[in-house]
Amino acid sequence: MKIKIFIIFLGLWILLPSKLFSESASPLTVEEEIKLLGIFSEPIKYPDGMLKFFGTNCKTFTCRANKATKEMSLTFKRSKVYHQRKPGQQLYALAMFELFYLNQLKLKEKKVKEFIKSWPEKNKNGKEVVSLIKLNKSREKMRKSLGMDLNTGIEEAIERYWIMGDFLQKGEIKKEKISKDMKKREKLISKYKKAVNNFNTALKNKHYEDLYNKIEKK
Amino acid sequence: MIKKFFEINKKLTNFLFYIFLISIFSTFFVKANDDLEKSYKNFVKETNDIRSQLNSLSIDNSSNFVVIDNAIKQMDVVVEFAQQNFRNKNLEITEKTLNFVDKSLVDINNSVPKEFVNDLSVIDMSKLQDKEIEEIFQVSADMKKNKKDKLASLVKDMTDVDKEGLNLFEVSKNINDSGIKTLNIKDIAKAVVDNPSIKSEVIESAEKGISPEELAKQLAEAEKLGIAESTQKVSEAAKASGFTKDIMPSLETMKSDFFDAEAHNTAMQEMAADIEAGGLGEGMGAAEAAATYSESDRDAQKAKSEADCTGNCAGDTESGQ
Repeated sequence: MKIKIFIIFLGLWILLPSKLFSESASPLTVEEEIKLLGIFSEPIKYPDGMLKFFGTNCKTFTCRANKATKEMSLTFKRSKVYHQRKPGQQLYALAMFELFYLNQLKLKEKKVKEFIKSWPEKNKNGKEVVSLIKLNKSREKMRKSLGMDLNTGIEEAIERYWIMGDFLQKGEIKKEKISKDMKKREKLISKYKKAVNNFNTALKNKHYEDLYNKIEKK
Repeated sequence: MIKKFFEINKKLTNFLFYIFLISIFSTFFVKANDDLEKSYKNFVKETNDIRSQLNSLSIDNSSNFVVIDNAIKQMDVVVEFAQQNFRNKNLEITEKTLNFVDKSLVDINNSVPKEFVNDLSVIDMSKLQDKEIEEIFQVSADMKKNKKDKLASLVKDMTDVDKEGLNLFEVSKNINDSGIKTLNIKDIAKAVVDNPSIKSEVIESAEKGISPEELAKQLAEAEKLGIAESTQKVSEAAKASGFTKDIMPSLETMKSDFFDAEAHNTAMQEMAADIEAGGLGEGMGAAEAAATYSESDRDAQKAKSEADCTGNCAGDTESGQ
């Protein structure tokens, strides 16, 4: 009896602080998150500029999605100076991100179906499902920056990103002379902002960590 | 003797079994916390590095530098408060404090003169297609609404942080006083008028940091504005003159000679800055996309982009290549 009490005490001692530390309710259930992923449906129309980017030889959805993914990845890796010089590129990349997501949804469609079938008894393909949910969260965040949400249709979202990209590209880029000391300050403020943002994102994501653990480690 | 041995053995087996169960559960719960702890340690290290680098910058009497340096110093106190709350396991207040730091740093950054400026006033609005114009103004209106929601949420966060011992209204006022345009008394008043449910607690907190008389004056102004905005008559008059409630011009107005394109270009510029400040492209999506992207793809793209780039391409990529 004494041993059992000791073990229960030990268990509480180990679990309670960490449980308190991770206390944050997940806003949505696993089923709701999966519903938000959407269903794959090929876009019917694309902005003219995007069609030009695809070229005449790239007509299938897979080819277009792959080409868009490569370009998007490169754009996201570009420096701040590049984006200041070509302000529309980032928005074009967001349009391409929509295709990247849609392609992921297509590729993992079968696995998601299997997951739904086995859940909550089993967590078949849990990792793939978590990866899609994370991507969808990024998609939501990006859409929100231009006043859209996950209910906005894919064609509409792509068109909006593209039009805004075209608009920003139409401006005239003017170069101003900035002192070295001012540049150093700007760099440090950006670094400061990034450090705050990274930690704040980790805190916010913590709300979802329990959900991801639930799916992956069941 | 043998019976006693079996009894002890049984107890020992039970004990080990429970220990095994506990260790499995504790690993499950502790994993997420380990990641957060790691993020926190990085955050402390990075902010300390940044602070020491900022302190080592040459001090010049130029007013621009003084303004920026003073504003950043205001942030140090707030960041220290956030870290202290994290150490005390108050994650909610840590997050709310960091939301404020994030917004303030965006404003400080916006006050720094930029090397490249996108001048949108050169755009001939009459040459844009109807669909483009509609979309641009829709985005502008949606973003305006987003901004309003974000402001209300931030003001509420500031009130909660004040209850834990740091008055962010005062910090905000100090930043404004130093010459950086950030959340001011007018914004606070607007947020309160839009969200009457937070009014009393915001006033209580805000008055500790800013002049109660000035706040009362701004509240009265914001209330008047709120009433005017919701008045049907005004709305109808605005509609009749080609303007919607949010002072967004209709397509017809924009095509007329009376349309103030310059004012709208300024608004668009503000929007572009907002997009940039939001750090689009950073984050998980980009990282996951990059993971699917092979080295050879990257080399091919780099070669293509270097060929596209006329003149000096240095600084175009993160590596500067």
